[in-house]
Amino acid sequence: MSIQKTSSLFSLGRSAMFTQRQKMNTVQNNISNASTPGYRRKEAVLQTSSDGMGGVEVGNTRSRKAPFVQDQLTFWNDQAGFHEEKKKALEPIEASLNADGENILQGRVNEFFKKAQSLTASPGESVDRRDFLNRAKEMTTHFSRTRSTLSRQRETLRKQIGGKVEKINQRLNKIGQLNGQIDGAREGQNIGDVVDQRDQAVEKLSKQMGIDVVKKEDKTVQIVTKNGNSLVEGGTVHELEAKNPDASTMAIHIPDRPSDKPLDDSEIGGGLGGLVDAHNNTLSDQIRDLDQLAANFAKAFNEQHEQGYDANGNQVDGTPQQNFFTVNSSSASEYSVDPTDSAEVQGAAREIEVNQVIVDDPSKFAAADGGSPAEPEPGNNGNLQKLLDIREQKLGTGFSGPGKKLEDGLREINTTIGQAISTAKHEKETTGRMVEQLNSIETSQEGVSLEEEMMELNEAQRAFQAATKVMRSGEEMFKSLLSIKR
Amino acid sequence: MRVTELGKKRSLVKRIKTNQANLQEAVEELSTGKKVREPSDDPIAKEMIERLRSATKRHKSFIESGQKFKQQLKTSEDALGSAENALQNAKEIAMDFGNDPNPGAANAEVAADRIAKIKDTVLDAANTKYRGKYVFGGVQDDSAPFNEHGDYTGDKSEATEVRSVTVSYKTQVDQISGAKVFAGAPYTSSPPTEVDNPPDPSDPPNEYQTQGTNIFDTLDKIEAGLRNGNHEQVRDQIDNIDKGMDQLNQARERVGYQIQTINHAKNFSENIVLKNTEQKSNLEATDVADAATRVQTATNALEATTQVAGKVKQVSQSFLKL
Repeated sequence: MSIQKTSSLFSLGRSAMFTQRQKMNTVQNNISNASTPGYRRKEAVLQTSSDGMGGVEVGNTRSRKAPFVQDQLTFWNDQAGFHEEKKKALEPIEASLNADGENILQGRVNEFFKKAQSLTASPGESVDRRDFLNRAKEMTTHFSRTRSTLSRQRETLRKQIGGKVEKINQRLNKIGQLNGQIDGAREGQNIGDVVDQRDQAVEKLSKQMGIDVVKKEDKTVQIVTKNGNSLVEGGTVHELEAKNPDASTMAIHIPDRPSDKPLDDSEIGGGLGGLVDAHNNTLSDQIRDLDQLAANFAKAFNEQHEQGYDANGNQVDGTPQQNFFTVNSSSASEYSVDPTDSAEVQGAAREIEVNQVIVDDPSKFAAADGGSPAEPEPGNNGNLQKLLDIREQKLGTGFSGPGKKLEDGLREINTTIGQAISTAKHEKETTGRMVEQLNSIETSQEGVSLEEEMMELNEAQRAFQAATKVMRSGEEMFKSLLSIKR
Repeated sequence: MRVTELGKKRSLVKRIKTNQANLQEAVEELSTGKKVREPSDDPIAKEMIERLRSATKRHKSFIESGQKFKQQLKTSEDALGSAENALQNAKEIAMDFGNDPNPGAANAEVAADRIAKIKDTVLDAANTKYRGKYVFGGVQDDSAPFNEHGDYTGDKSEATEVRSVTVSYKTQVDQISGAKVFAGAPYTSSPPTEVDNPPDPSDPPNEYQTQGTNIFDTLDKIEAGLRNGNHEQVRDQIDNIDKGMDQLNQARERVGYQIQTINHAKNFSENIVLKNTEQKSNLEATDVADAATRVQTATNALEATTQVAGKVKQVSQSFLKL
């Protein structure tokens, strides 16, 4: 037996010990990251040593992957993220607009008409007139509060959208950076962990925004929007920018793009898309409708009020200063608003008030349809009856569809918001279950099972011990060989 | 299927969160007694509930205005009754002296004084107030419709205009016109006729005009006849007293009819309110037994899940000790 062949026992044993130690390192890494979200279980793949001398080495460390699941997750994360953010954006409004199960503004409108009805029995009584005017003031106050609630939430969403865009840009930059590291890796360098981090970042991005992922041969990925606009290509990142061209619109741009056109609302997707949809569509539409309703109602009421006579027999002269409702928007005149002018209508619900001149002197309310200063008719309720009829009128101007009665319009606003939240809730549940299921499959295929790792550890430990035994045997044999020479 | 650490954790956390959410939902429903609290709970049902609530409030407003007006009408009814009784006394005096050829000057003077007092009583009735407003003043209820002489002081061109009050959908009730009842203003549609410019009897009759009797004029003539010893004049007014009493009686009947209309309208509205409340409750209210069962079920599920979480941990720890 040659000394070389005897010494080969040492090299074989050494390679085995080294390899098993590497394997134990891999197992240790797996155990340490057992609960790390996005971590893929690594396997040390053993192979016969490539130097021709026998022995074992770690060929490569591979990650368990579930590519089909990842593609599906990208889609469903987008859907779930959209509905979740939209639900979160709209739910706070519902709580503010309703109390004890009743829509607050609708309740005030009901009270206003109730007092008007009651006043028809005693239109000349100043106490009853004052009571009616107080109800009118409460109603206008709640028009304003409802409008403020909606617009404050819209303002909050604006800030959230800005914050979301910043976070998305950070994530895009991280993906770009990790792509760069992957692309720049040396031949044979272990980039499994970097790829895992990159894929985890992509998965989180898919919840924030709707994206498509294009896998490249160099193991980098290209991230594009749903309409194909590039966000990340290799190490190059095209960041997003949020703009606010007018009060009712938030627009998402990619400044690097040659065209300055913003992304379509439908293209954005994910949580950002949910916030933009809630801002641009649900909230802005309802604010506009509320303003339109207020403007239409104020105009119809004022026009009828103009036909009447006050308790002192004076006819309302038709000037805006004698209007019952005033609208002090920045573009409207102090007392009146043109419901066909969208600039004047904007803010009408916030600005509508009962004319202070009438509040200060309730006898100026024109409840009568006749009389004169010489022969006043304080007990005449003819014009008041016609004012009450406005409740049943369809206030037609300015809506995209047919005209609406005031109460129907208010109910529609409440119902639309409720429906948007309800749909978002149900869709979130449905898409959430899909995401949950996919995550479950993903973690099942890619995740770490401690029981499995313990078995691997035991195996590596025993192999390591066996290798040390071989080396000890080799040492004994070597000593024996050396003792023969003496 | 491989069971991984992250998978186990996610699954358990998800189950616990779901059970907590279910428990919270069931508790909310049980404690409020409502299954539809916000529009997002059931948008369609909520819209129906709001419609029913609006309709209920509307009917309640009809009831309120009706009851308010009813009090005014009851006051008018009492006043008309008082006036009718007074006129009855006047008739008796007129009949006694009208048919007695030698009543005696002193007795006639006493009778004339009694007629004057009767006129004051009828005047008080005609100027009756309710909550500071003249119930027979029509639309000019701030000022007394009749002066101390019994002359109508209201808007002469609008003598018959009264206030109408809506007490239900399409149902209106009116005030009683003092000008018509006490001053005999014509029952007319447009154009209205002035009180002190009645139509010429020689004119062809207008189907819309029926000239009534001025009660105060009648009493003035009786008083004058008694003071002058002109018992023929007194006798001639007995028919007018009868007509006046008829006017008052018809007005009382009309008031009674108006009050009945208000009562029927109130009953109708109350029935609607009851039905609406029932429908609203069907849409909105929760089944308490069902909600209580769900609370119990959700509580049990939550307890079971947390116990399972504990057992899973024990199994893992046991394995790791091998």
